[in-house]
Amino acid sequence: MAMDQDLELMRRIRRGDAESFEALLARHRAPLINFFLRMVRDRALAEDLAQEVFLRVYKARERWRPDAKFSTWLYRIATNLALNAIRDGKGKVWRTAPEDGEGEDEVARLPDPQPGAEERIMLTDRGRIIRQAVESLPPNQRAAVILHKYQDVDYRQIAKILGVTESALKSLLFRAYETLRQRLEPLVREGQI
Amino acid sequence: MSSATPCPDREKIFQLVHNLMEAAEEAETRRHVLHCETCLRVARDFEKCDALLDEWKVEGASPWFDQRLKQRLPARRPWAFRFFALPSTRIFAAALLVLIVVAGAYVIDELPKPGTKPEAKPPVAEVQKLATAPKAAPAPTSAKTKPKPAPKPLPPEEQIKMYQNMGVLENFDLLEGFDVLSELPKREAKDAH
Ligand SMILES: [Zn+2]
Repeated sequence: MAMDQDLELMRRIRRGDAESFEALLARHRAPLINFFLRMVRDRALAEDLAQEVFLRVYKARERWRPDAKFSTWLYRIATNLALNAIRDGKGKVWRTAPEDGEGEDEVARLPDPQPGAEERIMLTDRGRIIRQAVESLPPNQRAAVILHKYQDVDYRQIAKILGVTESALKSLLFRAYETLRQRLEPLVREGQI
Repeated sequence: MSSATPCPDREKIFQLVHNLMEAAEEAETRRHVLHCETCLRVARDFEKCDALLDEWKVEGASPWFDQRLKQRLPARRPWAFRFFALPSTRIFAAALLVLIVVAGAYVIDELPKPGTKPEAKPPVAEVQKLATAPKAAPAPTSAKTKPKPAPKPLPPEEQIKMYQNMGVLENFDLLEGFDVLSELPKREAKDAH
């Protein structure tokens, strides 16, 4: 049902329906930003990358063909962007040049998103340890765990997103979770008391 | 240990916990794990680690996300705006405007001037009737003036006398025989004198 909704929205966006793009944005905005926040940590960079995904979806709307699940396509773009950002260095902020230079000044004037008080409070010691454990994983394993655990993406889809076989993906996830289990063992024991 | 089947490796137990197995394999592994304390302990460790990962929370988009994204989106103007913005369309529109003005001026020039009645064309039957009618009497000058019987001509001496009484008129020879004057009432001629 959700998949059909994405396909229908994309068909309308292809016909130039701006409202459908907003509906697509509303459906995927929060999950996508959360994905990037976990992948690259830095909020400004995470939002830049999420915007880049939506820009690419918008620009590719006329070339897009409904031969694959929309969320697979969306997360393939997102994962590639995140892995590239990690490879290039997390703090590096980059943007797609706006077409015809439009909107560049306005973007520069807007305040960069900063972590709010609520977010700082949420990052307790346990939260920070978990985040550091996930961040210490190799980028591919990190992407696989985040897609599987936090984005609730089916493992067959994750295999397509990462461009690996299903059995390779299962092994990748196993190694990642084994590492996390070992690193987080003190917290697991702490929770048992 | 109480299970009849041999213990599966850790990866299989991991796959069982994380729903990464095909249905048939899953049923068999589950049956063993539920009856094997060692394997059950491994499964519980994976479950605890998985539950621990839930403690890492992130919070969605900043309030400026949509605004920033819209500024980066290529402006999509209405199709009519884009069409009329084309230089070729503008040139064509200018040429069309000139053509309309010239054609309009020509049409206005051809229209009947105000105050002049268009010549009513008689019906074909009337035209034919006129063509066949004898060309005896000339058409009356006005519809209101009915042809009157020609007045009896005065004797020449009386005519001269009458003209002599009209002080305004001097060239009697010229006016002699001017039919209209014959219609003047005699009393007026006397009064004028
Ligand atoms: Zn066993």
